[in-house]
Amino acid sequence: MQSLALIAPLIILLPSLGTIINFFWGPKLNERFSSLIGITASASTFVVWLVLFSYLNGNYYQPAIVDLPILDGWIRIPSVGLEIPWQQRIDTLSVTMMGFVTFVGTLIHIYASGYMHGDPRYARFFAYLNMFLAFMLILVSGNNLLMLFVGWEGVGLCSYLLVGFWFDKKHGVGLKNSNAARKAFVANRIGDFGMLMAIFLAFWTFGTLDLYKPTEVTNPHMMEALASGGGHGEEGAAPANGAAEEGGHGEEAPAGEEGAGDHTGSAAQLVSLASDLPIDQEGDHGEAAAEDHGESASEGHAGPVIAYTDNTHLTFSQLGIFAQAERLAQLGEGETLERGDGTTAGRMINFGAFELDIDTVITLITLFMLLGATGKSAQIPLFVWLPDAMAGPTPVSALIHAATMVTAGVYMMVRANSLFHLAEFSSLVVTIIGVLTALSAGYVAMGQFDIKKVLAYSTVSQLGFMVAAVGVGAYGAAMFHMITHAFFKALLFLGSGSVIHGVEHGHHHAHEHKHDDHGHDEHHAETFDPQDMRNMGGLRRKMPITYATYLIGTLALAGLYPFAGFWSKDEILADSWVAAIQDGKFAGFVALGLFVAAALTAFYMWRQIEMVFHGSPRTEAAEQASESVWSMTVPLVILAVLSLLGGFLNIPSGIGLFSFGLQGVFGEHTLSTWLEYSVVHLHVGAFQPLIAIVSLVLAVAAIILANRIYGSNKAINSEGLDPLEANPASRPIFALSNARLYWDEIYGRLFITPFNRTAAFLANVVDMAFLHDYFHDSVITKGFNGIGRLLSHPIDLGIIDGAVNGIGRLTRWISGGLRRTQAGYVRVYAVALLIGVVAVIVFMLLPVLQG
Amino acid sequence: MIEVYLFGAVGVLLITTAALMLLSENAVHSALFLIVNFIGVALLFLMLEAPFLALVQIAVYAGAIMVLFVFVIMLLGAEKARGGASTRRFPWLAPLAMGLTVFFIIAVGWAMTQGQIDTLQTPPGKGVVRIIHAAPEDAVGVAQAPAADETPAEGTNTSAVPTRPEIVLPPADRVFVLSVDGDVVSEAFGFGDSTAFMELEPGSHTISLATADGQDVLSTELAVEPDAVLNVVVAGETALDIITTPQTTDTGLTIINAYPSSSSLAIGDLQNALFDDSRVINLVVAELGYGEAAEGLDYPPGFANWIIFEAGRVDAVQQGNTTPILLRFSSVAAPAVGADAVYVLSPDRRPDGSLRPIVTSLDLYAATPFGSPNALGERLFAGYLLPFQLVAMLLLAAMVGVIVITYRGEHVPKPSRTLRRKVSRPLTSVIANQTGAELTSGAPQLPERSETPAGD
Amino acid sequence: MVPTEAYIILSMVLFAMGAMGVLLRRNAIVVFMSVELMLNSANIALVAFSRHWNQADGHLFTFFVITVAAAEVAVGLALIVAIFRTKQSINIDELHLMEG
Repeated sequence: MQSLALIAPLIILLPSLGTIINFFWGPKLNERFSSLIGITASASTFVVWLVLFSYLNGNYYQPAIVDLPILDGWIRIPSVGLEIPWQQRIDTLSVTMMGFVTFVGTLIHIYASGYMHGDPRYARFFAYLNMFLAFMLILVSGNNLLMLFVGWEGVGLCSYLLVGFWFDKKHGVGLKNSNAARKAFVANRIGDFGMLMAIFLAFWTFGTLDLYKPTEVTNPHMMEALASGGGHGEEGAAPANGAAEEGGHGEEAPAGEEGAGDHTGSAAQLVSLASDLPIDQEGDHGEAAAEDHGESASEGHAGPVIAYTDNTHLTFSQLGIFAQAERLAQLGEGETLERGDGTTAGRMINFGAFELDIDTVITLITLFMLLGATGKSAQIPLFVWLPDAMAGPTPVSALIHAATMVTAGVYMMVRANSLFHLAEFSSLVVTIIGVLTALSAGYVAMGQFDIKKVLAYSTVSQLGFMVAAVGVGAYGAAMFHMITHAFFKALLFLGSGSVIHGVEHGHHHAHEHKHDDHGHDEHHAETFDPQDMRNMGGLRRKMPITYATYLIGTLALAGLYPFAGFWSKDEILADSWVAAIQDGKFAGFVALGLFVAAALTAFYMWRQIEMVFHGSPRTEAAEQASESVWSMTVPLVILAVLSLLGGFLNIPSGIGLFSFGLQGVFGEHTLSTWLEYSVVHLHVGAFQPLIAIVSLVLAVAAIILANRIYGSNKAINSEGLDPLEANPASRPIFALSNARLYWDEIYGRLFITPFNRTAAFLANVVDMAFLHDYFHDSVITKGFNGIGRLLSHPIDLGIIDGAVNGIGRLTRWISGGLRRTQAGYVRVYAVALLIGVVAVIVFMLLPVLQG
Repeated sequence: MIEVYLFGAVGVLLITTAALMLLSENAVHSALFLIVNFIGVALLFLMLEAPFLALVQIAVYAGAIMVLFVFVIMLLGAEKARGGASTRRFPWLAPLAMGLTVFFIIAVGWAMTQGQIDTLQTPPGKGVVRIIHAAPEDAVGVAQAPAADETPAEGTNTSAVPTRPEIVLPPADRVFVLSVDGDVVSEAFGFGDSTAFMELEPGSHTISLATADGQDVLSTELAVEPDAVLNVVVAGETALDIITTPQTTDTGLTIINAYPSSSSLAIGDLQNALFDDSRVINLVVAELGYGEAAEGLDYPPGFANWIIFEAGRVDAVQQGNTTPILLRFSSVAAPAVGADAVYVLSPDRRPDGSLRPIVTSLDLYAATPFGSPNALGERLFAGYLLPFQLVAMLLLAAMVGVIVITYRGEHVPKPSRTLRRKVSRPLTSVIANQTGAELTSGAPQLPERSETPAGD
Repeated sequence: MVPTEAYIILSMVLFAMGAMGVLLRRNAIVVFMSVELMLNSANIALVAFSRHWNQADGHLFTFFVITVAAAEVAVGLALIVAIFRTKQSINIDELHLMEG
């Protein structure tokens, strides 16, 4: 059964193959074939995902680590003991990520096959999309930080390529697009610096980059069963285990047990199985044995439990970075651990010139990780690239900049939950950044007119929700929101793409119409912006499917019951509430700011609905708009269904009235308990009716408010102004929002202008004037000339030439004498030879001749 | 004494023909004298116990090579070298050459009389040893070696070893690693196997058997005398013994009894009475105890119909009592009897646990005579394979060389090509073509190609 | 039994005679034949020593010497033929193009 996991490399190889085909042969293929290749590659990853999913379900959620043999040891530096295997980790977390990446990715491929119709670089677009999928899957499935980083950079590259995909659009739009791509790239590089620093620090501290070693056990259920039933008294010995920690969560623990009712059975089986394993497990041996668990599970005979399935028998260097960090953090002052290779490790980490306590190091690592996450997941201070990245084609915005890539930062932090769990301060910073981002982005979204910009800021805001959730330790809620958000934000983006497509189509239609009447009016064509919501209105009747799905997405994002957003957002809020009230964490109180952000979300989304779909058409283009083709609407419908039902993935316990018996179908805490097998510090939150009601009331109130302001055809007044803008009382608020809080301007003043000036100074003064003119001419040229003169005359002509010529003369003189011996007559040479022979023989006979 | 006279005659012949070869004005005469000289050398080779080389000398030298000489002389019509103008140019050459050769002869001759080559010892000949595994498969090992002084006497002899502490081996380890002086000879040495004849320096050698995982089963000292030929048999039913039997004759039949039983065995020949009850048995060996060897039996080669039975019970067998008969075998199933061979009677474990003797047939060691083609061939392919290959390559190269040297092909000079210079078009001109910008105005230009190529 | 020294001395005398032939004769073919004589004398010494030490290696060397001599004769005679074609002579004193 575990051989199923061996197909994991395919999930990367298949889209890579699609990339190669479309990249090299794409220009020769027609659109139909290119899109077929792209969609097949994407869909096949989804099939692979199904297999991996069933693998986990059939193997008691045991993580599998899959090597790609040809890349084994792809990075190996023996002198520093750096050996990084190419391993994919198939566990519940990575499979969760793979699941929505491949699924949403496939839908967006289908959508793009319609959306990109007629583009001159159609095949290349699919090549890039497939490449993105490959890198994203490397990112989520890599078992070491370096593979994660490879994927991280790869998706950044794809993002760059795709944002600037229309770099050759006319009238300066192309330039704007490529600038947006560069902005995204540079902002991400700043984040990558943090990521790299985190990786370096981790390697220096732990000597490995593996997240978990193959022999390690990360399954808290198994640990728990071991701790309670194990005959070796390991309970106290391994307090770093998730199992032992679990007890500390007070009331969450019963929920966990309740939710894991069907899992404890399998855990018990697993434990009894451990008796089959020899005690001296080491290295690969252990790996094989660990993978065998699932196979022999059916035998189920009881026996003494040995320490194998606990990590306590593993030496320090046999652990991945997370378990190492936990062990080090457990150490007291002055205590040391055997590394297993003869050296010891203690709390103090030596950095050459100075030493740092392990807690400080972990805090640093997590803060650097946070910097990386702010780049990739568009958080303050690096979020500015994401709104600009909307310059890319809409499928790209939906796939990369809403559903998948931007969640990589959150994924990385969830993956590193062990570290964040140990670093209180970092968690607080994470929360603050998340909440600030959620609030400010939500506020900015209120004042935008570009349909995709609104969604972009909304994405930033929702990512802030997830980051804040990570900060308060609600890893499950973060992952949950990530999934539901992937559904409804992809839906909204695709819907907006459909709208843009329709309006553009309508514009062309109207324009042609005009053309007949009034002649060619190119200027008009240039200024018309199909993404500007002021040019829309009343599209409800023109595009009914788009409207219906968009409405579902909006309600899901706004967090209305029973849409997906309600459940996930509510879980974040509930966990924050629990953290604040019950655990008394400061971070929890900060996270309560998310209520405001939630209300803002509902407000700006309803504003958008009013502006785009309701009221009456404000331009001819909107008048002439028409529904999109089926390849675009079908993904919309599928995503709408998921936005409606996605929330039931993780129904919290104790919801009473809200459930309508859906628990019976979907189960409680399905996602959380599933994730629990790989996210060690995940805890299952209980439903908080108060929070749910408050957030629901806030959302409904915001929608009603938005309806009052923008409803009944008041969305844009006759001067093209927003009602808030028109009203003097609210104008400053709107202006600040419309100006995006002046983030770009501040960055321009603070960084870009000084940077440009420094560069100009270096180029003009230092390089050109000083180096080229002065230094080159006076120092280098003159110096060389002087030395050259000195070398040429006295030294070269006098000494060297004299010596060489003298040798020549000497040779000629000697050879003049020697040439006489070369008579050219064979017999003379023969005599010379004979003389030599006789001499040699006589020499050899000398000892005999002397007696 | 005849040999000395013969040597003197051949020596005189050699020197005479060599001198005549040198002094003949006619090259054909020289060649003919040289042929006679070579035949003389072949005679010397015969006297020096090198018959094969003598034949090669006649065939290759006197035959092939000299024919080539004569052929070339005739072909060129160059019986006499023309010209001789330069003889006066080096007047010192002839005296110098004479002086050198005389000096050479004196020096070497003096060394010969001084050196006393014959007084030096010739190295002792190596002993030849073969090891035979004739213990049943479930025999177990003994740990200690027998004493080295048990060198057996001539003829039938024994050197059976007393019982020693046992090492119980797991059933899978009945194939041993055999090593001599620590060098592994065979990785899998099982029942019925025998090694090739090994040349060992005279002196004491250690033969050891070990299991595959390195557990020592048996280790024994073996004394090898110069030029001795030894068959070393690993025998015994429960503990392993070593039976060492020297081979003194290289003809006839040698039978070694490695069948562990308290009573001796006899081997009888039933002649043609395959199924006759009233058997008249010719005894091949009347009595042969465990560890003994019967050597040099002169038995006519051909069909055999033998029985092996308990010694001393010939009468009973002749009267039709089959109880003492341990084994019947005929050359229908076994190798032909009577050739020069070594037969080893070794025990075979039957399913009921009892043993019966079976016969393993091995070659008798026969030394190859010195200088024979066999001896040379063995040496050539054992130690001189690489030089042999190199010489073969040299011959091939010589053949090709001869063809190349004497090839009289027309020399066709290649037509001289006009110099074609290829100058890549600078990229700037492409850019200029497409943009219309004048990029190359200030750049240095290549000179125009002149129509007439430069002097070739 | 003839002592080995006798063979060696005979071999040496033949060698010296061959050397004289190489040095003093001007007919290239006779020079060549003298070389063969020298090789043969060396063979006699090898075989004599081989018997003396009871080692077959001397025989093998002789064997190789004969083989190499065959190759050498083939190439040498080919050279002589080629020279004769251009010079119409095989007098080695006329071959002094390499005079320094």
